Amino acid sequence: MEPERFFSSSRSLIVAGKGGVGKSVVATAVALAAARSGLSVTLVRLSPLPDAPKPVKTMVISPDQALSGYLADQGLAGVTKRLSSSGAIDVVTAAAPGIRDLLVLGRIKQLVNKQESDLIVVDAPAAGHAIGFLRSPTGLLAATQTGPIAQQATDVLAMLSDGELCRVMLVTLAEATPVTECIETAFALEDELGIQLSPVIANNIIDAAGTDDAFFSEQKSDPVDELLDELISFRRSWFLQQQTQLARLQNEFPLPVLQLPKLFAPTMGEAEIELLAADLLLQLQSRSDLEL
Amino acid sequence: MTYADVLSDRSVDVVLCVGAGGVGKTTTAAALGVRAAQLGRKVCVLTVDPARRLSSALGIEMATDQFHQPQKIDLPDAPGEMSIVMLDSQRTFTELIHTYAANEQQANAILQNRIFHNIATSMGGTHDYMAMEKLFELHALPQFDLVIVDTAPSTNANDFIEAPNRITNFLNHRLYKILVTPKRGIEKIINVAAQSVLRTVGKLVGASVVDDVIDFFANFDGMEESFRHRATEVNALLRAPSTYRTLVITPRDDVVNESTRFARYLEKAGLPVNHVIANRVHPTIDPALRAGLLARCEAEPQWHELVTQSVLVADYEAEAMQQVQTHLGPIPITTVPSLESDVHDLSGVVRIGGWLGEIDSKG
Repeated sequence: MEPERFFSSSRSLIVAGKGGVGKSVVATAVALAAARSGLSVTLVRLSPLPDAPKPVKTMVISPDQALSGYLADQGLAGVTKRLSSSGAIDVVTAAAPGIRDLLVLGRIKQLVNKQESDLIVVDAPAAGHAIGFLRSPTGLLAATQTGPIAQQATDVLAMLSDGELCRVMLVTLAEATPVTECIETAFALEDELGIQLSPVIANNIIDAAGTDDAFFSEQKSDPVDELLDELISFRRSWFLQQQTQLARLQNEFPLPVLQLPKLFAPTMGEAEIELLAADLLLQLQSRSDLEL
Repeated sequence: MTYADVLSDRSVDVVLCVGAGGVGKTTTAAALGVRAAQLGRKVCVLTVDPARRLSSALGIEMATDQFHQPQKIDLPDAPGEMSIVMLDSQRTFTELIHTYAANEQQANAILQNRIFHNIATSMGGTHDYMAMEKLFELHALPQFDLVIVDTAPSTNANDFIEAPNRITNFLNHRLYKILVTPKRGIEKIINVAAQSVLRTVGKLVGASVVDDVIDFFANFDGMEESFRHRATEVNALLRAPSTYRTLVITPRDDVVNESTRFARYLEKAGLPVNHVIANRVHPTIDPALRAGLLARCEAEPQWHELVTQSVLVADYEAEAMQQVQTHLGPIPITTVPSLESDVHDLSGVVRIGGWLGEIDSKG
């Protein structure tokens, strides 16, 4: 499939995953891959992290700032500042739980409507919180039926349930617990919130190189051979475990799965992001079963 | 000092596990519990594992609401005992209201208010605060001589430390008092500001919500002192010499940076980290064998990639561990190897428990 077509099928892509699965790196690589396919792309982060490589535009929307910005728009700039130190800002949160998350989603909706970028990629909060994040408009709508917040919630819900405007991309590791949580999150998002999902990304996948068992039959007395044996057997069981979990994802899950390789590097810098983006583009080109 | 020494030390009665998301805190807390029971302790593990997966992996099958009370885990051959509790923060909060309310009527008025429901389920810090509250409760129970608590993943140490104060400050808020008793001077200015906030909130979410806010504070009247007192006691327990604060990490650059920042913040707040547990450490390469290993795969290129990658991982993990020492000073570090299969059942937890207390660096 043409990567450009893949990335053009929705206006925004919310990348979510449990802590430790590499969600932020994947979101950055996805944004870069979309940009390399010819689209103009904005990456939205909810906390300050390194910018995505050019030509991706990076934008930080902090939930706290979204709230104080909103209150300032309502004519409360000075008051908000004074009262936030005394905790009165919590009164707003208590009266309207999830208001920060809703306002962030509202800003994303504005970006989508403005159409300055072809695609908005959002680096969402970690998975447990991602459901709360995406559930915020439903919750607020239950609490408040009228007023600007209720209107905002209604608009955001309309965006979330329209696959042409928004999709969620889940990221997981090929390990038992993350896969289970990923599957549960997927069903919760689809069934409860009517959100459409894009292919799932299985991150940090290793290959079988050097793990054939020929070496195990040999007699080992040399310490170097012993160490080599340890490394091979470690790698081999790691590989087999990942394959088991990938099979589970494929069997228990109706969504297509894309794999990103484990990169053996101390930090995920621009070079690593480029590698992941290139890998993603190659996979997209070779697959026909995909739709963003 | 090995972690087995820590768990054997009867003067330690609380183990607090802190750390970033995804480093294996819940599994570590459970493994420490198993190890402690093997060492003869009567231990209770309080977990915030929201998926309850660990609980079912440990062989506890029961109705959801039973998780809230300690459930014994069957550990053959362990001289001690281990129980596990799942934090239900809304329920813990409800129990606190019942404890401190002057009468049933006051408690019910608060519990039926939707603002209470919002605070208990959605307010930042509530979960952390209720974990601490539950820890305090379990610590006071005579059937346990050790409580191990696994905290919610916090990227922000401030949220974690401030959680009890933040909630009590909120509950203690002057808003209500100001609204019903206008004063002079500075309080009057705050009053105007508070009114203005409430008016705006009313415009945003509807006047009935604001009525609930005012009702909530009105009903809460008289309970603030008890809450503040309790928060003081909880804060003291977290800082007590009998509380052993353990930072759980994985030896990765980004995790180490985040975790050491977290640890330094804790130290400033009077909660220095006592021990580091590094999870998922890949096989190490003995420096004496390194050259031989690389030469070996020159001769047999099918292992070249695997060996160079293994060496690279071992090197950067060693570097990350070095960073921990640099930032946190001389602190005992226990390393747990990355197991070939990931841990999602009792036997896996027992295996991890075996490592906690076997392999240690000097502290």
